[in-house]
Amino acid sequence: MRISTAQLYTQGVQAIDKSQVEVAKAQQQISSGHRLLSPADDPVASAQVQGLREQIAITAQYQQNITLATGRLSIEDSTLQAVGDVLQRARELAVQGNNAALSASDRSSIAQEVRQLGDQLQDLANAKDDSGGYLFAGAKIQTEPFVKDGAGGIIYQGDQGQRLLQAGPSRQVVVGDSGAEVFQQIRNGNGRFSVAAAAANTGSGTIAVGSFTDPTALQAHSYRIEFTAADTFDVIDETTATPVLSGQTYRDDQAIQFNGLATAISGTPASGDRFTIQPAATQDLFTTLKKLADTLAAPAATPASSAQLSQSLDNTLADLDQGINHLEEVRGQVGARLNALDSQDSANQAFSLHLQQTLSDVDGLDYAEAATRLNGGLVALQAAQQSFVRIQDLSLFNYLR
Amino acid sequence: MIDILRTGMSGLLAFQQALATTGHNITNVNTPNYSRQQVDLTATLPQNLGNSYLGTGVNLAGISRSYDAFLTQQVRNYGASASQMETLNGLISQVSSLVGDADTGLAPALQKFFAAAQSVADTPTSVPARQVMLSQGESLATSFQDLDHQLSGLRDTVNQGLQGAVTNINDLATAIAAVNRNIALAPSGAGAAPNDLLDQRDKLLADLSQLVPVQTVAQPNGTLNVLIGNGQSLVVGNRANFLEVGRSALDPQDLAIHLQGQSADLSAQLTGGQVGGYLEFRRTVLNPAQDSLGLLAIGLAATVNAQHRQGMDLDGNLGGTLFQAGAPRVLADANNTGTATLTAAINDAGQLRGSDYAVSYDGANYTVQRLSDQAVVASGASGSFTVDGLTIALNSGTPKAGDHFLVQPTRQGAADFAVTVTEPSKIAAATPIRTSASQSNLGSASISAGKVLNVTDPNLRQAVAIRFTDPTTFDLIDTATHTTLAAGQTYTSGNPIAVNGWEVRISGIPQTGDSFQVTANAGGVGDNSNALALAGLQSSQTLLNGTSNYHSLYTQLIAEVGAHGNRAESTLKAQQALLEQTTQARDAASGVNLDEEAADLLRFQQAYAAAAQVIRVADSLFQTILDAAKG
Repeated sequence: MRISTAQLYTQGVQAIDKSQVEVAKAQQQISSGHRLLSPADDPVASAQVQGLREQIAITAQYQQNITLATGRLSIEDSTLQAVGDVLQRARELAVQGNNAALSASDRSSIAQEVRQLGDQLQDLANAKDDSGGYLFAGAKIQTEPFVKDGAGGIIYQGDQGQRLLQAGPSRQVVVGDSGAEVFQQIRNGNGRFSVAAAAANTGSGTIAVGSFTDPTALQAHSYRIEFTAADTFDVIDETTATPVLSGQTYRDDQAIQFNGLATAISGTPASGDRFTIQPAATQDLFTTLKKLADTLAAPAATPASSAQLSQSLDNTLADLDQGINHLEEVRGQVGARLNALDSQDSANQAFSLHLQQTLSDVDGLDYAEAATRLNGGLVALQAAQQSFVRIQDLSLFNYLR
Repeated sequence: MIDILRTGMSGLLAFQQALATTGHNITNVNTPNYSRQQVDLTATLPQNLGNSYLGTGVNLAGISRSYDAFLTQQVRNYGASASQMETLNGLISQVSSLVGDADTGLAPALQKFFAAAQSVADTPTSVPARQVMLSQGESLATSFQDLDHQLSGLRDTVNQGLQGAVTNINDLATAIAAVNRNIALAPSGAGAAPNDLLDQRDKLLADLSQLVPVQTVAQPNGTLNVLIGNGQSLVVGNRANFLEVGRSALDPQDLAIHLQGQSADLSAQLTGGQVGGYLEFRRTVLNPAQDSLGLLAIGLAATVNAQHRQGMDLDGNLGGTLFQAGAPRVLADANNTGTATLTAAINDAGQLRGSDYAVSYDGANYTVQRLSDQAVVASGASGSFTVDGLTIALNSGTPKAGDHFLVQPTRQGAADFAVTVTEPSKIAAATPIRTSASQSNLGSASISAGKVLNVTDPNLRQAVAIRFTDPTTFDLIDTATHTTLAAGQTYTSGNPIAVNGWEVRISGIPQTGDSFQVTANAGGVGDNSNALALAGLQSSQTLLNGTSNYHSLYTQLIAEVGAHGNRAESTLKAQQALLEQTTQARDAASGVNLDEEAADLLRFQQAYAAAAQVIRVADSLFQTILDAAKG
């Protein structure tokens, strides 16, 4: 085999070139920290890397959403807690006011405080979130949700929209409740039905808020308890205009049961007195507080009117209890959402960590391996250079002197 | 004694030429394609002395070159392949780094746009968040345009490369023809070949092979005919035919190659050398990459727009288009004889593929061929087809048999991608309708958020009440006009109720007299449902018949380009190795080794000195005789 001199040079230079390419690649990998320098290095892994990077970025966005949602729900939670405090205070005042020993002026000053509580409640209901939108306006976050109408009541101007945020690939979390949901959609009475004594009653009888003994037997009907004599009463279904019970003998505080519900009348009713039982209607918290204040402010001079007062306060207390329960329910939901966000946050973090690990497996550089490769390349390069110099130095012409 | 003198003289002459040849070899040690020459020495015819033959010296029979025609041919062929792969690899690596770059590629821009959409969902009334979404949209558009622009730049590179290659090919063809002429003119006989001219021609052929693969046919007069492609002659004897570049008949953005004075496009037949590399790159990487990118742009614009139009902006107006993308392009072959023009329009971006389509007419029927897999996807006489979400239709004129059209549905998609919304408030983050339950409802039923089915329904935002006449029956009432839209509908919990282009679901147990309202979402600026849906598109499989989302489509593009690059790289390595091996084999036969020449130099120098000594001896013999004659 002959070797041409030009070939010797070409080979030497090619060997140096190749080593230099190796060294440059290892150097580039080490300085960038990436195993893959071009999609051509490993097309499948490159595609995977792109997918992983996208997933990591999306997960980071979910985490950002969670931070925001947590903030908003925390504000809602603390606002709801304040609302709960207002209702508790109102309940205390109602209990305090339901005392026959109180004078009209005492009750009037309690009524004043209840009115204050009503204003406070309105303020809380119009609370804003950290981005300046109304917390309880549904989707109409730039519209003040609760405003006074001319007649002394409060109307809701928001809507029933709920905002969702994406907290994970398949989890959307509700980040707020509308004012309608929180303050308005509350059943009065005991939640299923409410009771009332007719205003024209002359006796001192009051009807208890009552309970339902068999929810399945309960019908959404109105009933009337009518005293045909001081000690006899009938129960009439007003919806169907049919008698349910008739000629019952009245005993103080004895349970009256029919159609799955139970109540009792106490005091001394007079003949012709009427009591009504109606399916529970929705009554907003503002109305409940207003009723309480109005009741406390009303005079109660006669036994009949103090029975009215006592009846009203009983009913309002029941309404307040409904409100407090409802609020606890809403707060419970908010807490559940916060928990869900918390667990999604952990899940996202774990997923993100997993993604990062996979990414580092796929694209991360094994520095030890790369450094070894770089070293090997350098040795090869040096060898190629040295051998080239040695070989090209070797010529017969050197000896032709 | 005269004989001795003559013999010595023949030696002197022969070794002089041998030394000259060695010197020639030494000086050409670095001449590419030079074949080592050697003198062929033979003994001269002997003198018949009757009973014996007396040698009369040496004769230079010829100067031959060490040459292996087969190896030379192989080096040329591998050179053509290696140069093709080198060109291809160089161009692909440019595309790779364009699309694959983690920081500047399209993927981060896509991701950031959808992250911004999520931020709008987080705080729908925040103008800064909306502004960010618009500017991320702008930078997404810039990414599309930049990427497309750079790909178009590579198309220009290909065109310029082809132009340069053709100029070089023509120069080389001219030079080969000239060398052919000189070879034909050179008197040659047995052993007397014009070695250096032959080497020169081999060098020119090797250079030519770098540009385009060639076949050669040797002629009796020593000339060589050079053929390219499927046997088109580039050089015939001492005459060169020239190649020309011109606009491709089908796609004027591309250059085609043909022989001077002929219209036949040779592009498809030139599969090697630089030219082959350029053409293969354009066909297998550049066109698909630009088409895929366009598909992504068109798909993104269509799906995002469709969702955006279902929404309502901050001013309470229905959403408009958020993005625009380039329209399909239809090109008629410049050689068409008919007058027909076709149009193409996208009717479903979700079914679209990143392929071009060839439409041909045979006099009676059209045939539509999808170029990515060469499948015939439609045919018929009507001239109107719907394939892969694309509608192709005869626009005007009449076609003639043999007419061709090229449909590029997505080629322009990315180049013309732009954001059409400029006002942050125009981002439609809300749903145009809202639902609510009446306060007085006694039942436990609840109503879902509304979903827009048909945003163009004129009554979409008309207020509608759903009133339960009993717990299992409801009426739909237009509360503005107090007309009953539908009465006595049977209620099933959780079933959709659809009217006026929207759909809601009521679930739970309603009571008689309960009612629910669906109304225009006036003031519902805090509603983020459409922004959430927009952001959700990021991971929805909306493209390629529901098999791909935006990101995976782009990832596919990277993987495809990467696979081509990977193949080109490994083929290049293999071809280079083969080229090296055959070059070594050829050089082993033909190359100059300086040590060998140094030895030859010594050998011939000594032989020359010895021959001179023979002459001196002959001279002294003469002197001896002359002295003897003097007495």
